[in-house]
Amino acid sequence: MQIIKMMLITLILSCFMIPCSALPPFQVLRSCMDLKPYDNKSKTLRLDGGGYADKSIEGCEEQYDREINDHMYGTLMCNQKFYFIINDKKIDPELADNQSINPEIKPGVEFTTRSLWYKIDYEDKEYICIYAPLAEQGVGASRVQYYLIENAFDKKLTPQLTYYFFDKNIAPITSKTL
Amino acid sequence: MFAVRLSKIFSVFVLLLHSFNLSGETLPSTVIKNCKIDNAYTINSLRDIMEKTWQNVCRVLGLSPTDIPGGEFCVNDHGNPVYIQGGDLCADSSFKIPINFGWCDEGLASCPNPSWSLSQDKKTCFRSDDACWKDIENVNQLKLLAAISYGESHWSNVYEEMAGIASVAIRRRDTAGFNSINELVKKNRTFSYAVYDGNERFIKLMCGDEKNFKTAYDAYENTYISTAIRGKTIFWKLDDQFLKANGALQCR
Repeated sequence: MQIIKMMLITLILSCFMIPCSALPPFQVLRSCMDLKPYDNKSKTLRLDGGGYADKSIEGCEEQYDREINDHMYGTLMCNQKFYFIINDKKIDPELADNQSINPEIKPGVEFTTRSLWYKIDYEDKEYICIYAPLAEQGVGASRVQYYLIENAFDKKLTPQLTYYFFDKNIAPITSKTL
Repeated sequence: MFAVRLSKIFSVFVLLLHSFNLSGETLPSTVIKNCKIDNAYTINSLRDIMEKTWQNVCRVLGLSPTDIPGGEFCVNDHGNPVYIQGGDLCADSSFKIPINFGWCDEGLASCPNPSWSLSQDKKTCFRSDDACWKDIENVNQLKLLAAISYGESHWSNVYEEMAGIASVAIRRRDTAGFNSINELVKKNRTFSYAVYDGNERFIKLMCGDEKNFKTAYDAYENTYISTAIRGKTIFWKLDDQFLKANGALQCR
């Protein structure tokens, strides 16, 4: 009993010291993969209206965004590196929690305007779903990578990114283990 | 007893082979995350049946789903229950029982790609010497572009598709100011991919004899001439193959 108590206290304390980040529920992921609500608790809304910005964030280029509630969401390139703009803020996709099952495909792979952006509502929480091809041409064009972004609509909170890729049978041709 | 001893000797032999790298390459495996992507239902005696709802399993079996609230079973012709097994479908396509127990969240020992095999203890990955690897930086540009065009195109080997892919690569190389396709793929690591689908096209061309891949090499030769750039002008060579092409409308 004492041991169980100690373990519980340690768990609670560690949750305060290190933020306990849970993955988005699978129902949200599934809605993102299927681009339609998983069940009657889920809602999906396509975020249309994307276009190239007249002027990119300073030091960056190719800003492609859409406006939601007066805030910008999209992608851009800064010093040849790919970034997201979430709630007007530049965010590095490489910081996403990596849930790819392919060791060679990680968050940060650049994608273009062919990506689809959705807002998913599930149990009073909102998420952004990004559904993007791995490449613009060839075999990568038929493989999809997904991002789910929590806290994307509240300026007071830090957006939490999770990256998903589910195909083990593909590798960049530059891979040293090909 | 003898079998156990033989198995131990064999394990030591395999370990020695791997350590001395006599017959191939060995790498430490990588632990990757797995996660739940869906619910799934089956029946323990017929695991091939896998449905999104337990009611669908009953329908596939030709039985009626029970109408008892909270019940998750089918009813057979004799009125007896046939129990359905729920589980989690994981990102790596595995099925974990029981449902909502979080078994998908366990780490997954993995090798870089299917050309490697995972050891029994799941700590290392191994592949034999017959795997072919060519250093992208040092392979000649013609071969690399032919391999990209061939590897990225459909198995039916349509010339126009290969020429289109080669054309994209050359234009990307030129607009980004790279000196070669080799430099393009080195700097832009995710420009092109190879697929393991039992017909490893990119690897076949990189490791194979040039004469077996004439269409891919032709695609390169033709595209190269077609996309020569002088200042802001792109010159297109309207040769017979391009004029007769069915798929490449933008080239007409």
